[in-house]
Amino acid sequence: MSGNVRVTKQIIAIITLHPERVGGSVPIFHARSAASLEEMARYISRVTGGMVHELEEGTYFIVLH
Amino acid sequence: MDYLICVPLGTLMGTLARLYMLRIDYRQYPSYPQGYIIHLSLGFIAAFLGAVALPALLNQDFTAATFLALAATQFREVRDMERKTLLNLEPTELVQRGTAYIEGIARVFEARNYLAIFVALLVSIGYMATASLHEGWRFMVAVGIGLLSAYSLNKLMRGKHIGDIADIKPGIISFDGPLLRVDHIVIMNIGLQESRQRYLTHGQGVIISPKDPNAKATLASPGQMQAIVHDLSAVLGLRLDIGEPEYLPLPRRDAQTGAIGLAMIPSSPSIEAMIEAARRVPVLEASVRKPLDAKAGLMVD
Repeated sequence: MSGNVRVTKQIIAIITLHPERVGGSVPIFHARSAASLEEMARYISRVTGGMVHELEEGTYFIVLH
Repeated sequence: MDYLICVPLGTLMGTLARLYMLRIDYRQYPSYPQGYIIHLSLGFIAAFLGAVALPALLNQDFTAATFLALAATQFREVRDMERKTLLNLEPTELVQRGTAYIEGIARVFEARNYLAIFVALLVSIGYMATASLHEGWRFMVAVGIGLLSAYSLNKLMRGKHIGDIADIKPGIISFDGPLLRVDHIVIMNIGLQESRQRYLTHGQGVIISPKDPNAKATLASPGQMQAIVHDLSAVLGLRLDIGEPEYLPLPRRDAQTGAIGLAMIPSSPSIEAMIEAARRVPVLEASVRKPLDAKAGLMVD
C-alpha cells in the first residue's frame, strides 16, 4: 500500500431534501428535488470514490469503504 | 554408465512433471512467459536434485545426499517469492484475492517443486532397481513410473472445491428499501436509484449453502469468502469502473444457516457460468475447519 492515509467507515457527506433533520460537522448538501438529490449524490460519490447509502426517504450519506 | 542415463532421465521426467503441474489457469498468476521460465528453471533444479540423490547414495557420496536437505531451504524461497509478488499485485486488483488465497497459492507453488524432486527420485529409483532387465525395458519402466507418479501426485494434491462442500443455487436479487438482498440474505445498502436499477436488470445472485457443519465453518472464513468473490469476478468479469464501489461484489453470510449470499453484475451474464465458477473455487487450506472431528463439535451437531 502507498503511504496515503484513507479515512474509511466514516460519513464524508450528506445530501438531503430535509436539511432540518440533519446536522453536524460533515458537509451537508441541500437538494432541491428528488432528481437533484440523486444526481448530487452520484457526482459526489464518483469524485470521492465513496458509496451512496440511503438513510431514509430523501436523505443520502456517502461513506468510504 | 547407468548414471549417465538415470540422472538425465530423472531430471527430464521431473521437469516435465513440473511443466504438467504448471498449467495456465485463469486464477493462478503465471500467465506470462517470465512466470513460466522462473518456475520451469526452479523445477529443473529440483528435478536434478531428486535425480542425483540415489546415484549419490550408491556411490557412497553421502555429502551429496545431504545437499538435498540444504536444497529444500532453497525452495522455501519460492513460497516467499510467490507471496511477495501476489501481495505486491494486490492493490492493483479490482477485487482482491485476500491474504488467505495468496498464502494458499504460494504453498502450492512450493509444494510443486517438492513433487518434482519426488518424481525425479522415483524415476531414478525405477531405473536403478531394474538393472537386470534389458536397457529398453528399464527405460520404459522408469518413464512409466514417472508418468504415473506425476499424475497421481498431482491428483492427490488437488484439494477440494466449493462444489464438494456446498450446494450452489441461483438467488433472486431484490430490494427492500435501499437494502440489496439475494433471496433472504441482506447484502448492502445501495442509495442510488440508478445503481439499484442496474442490479435489478443485470445483476446475478447465488446462494452457497454448506452441506455439513464442517463446510459451514469453512465457508465462514472471510478469507474463503474473499477467494470466492475474487474467482467469480476473474472468471465472469465485472461491469464496473474504479470509483464505483456499489458494484463491487460482497459476500454476506446468513448467520443462522451459514449460507453465503453473493450478488454481482458480471460483464458477461450467465447464471450457469457463475454457478460453475463458484463450484470450482478451491477450498483454501487455511480456511478448512473440521469441528466434527472434535468431540465437542460432534456433541453440538
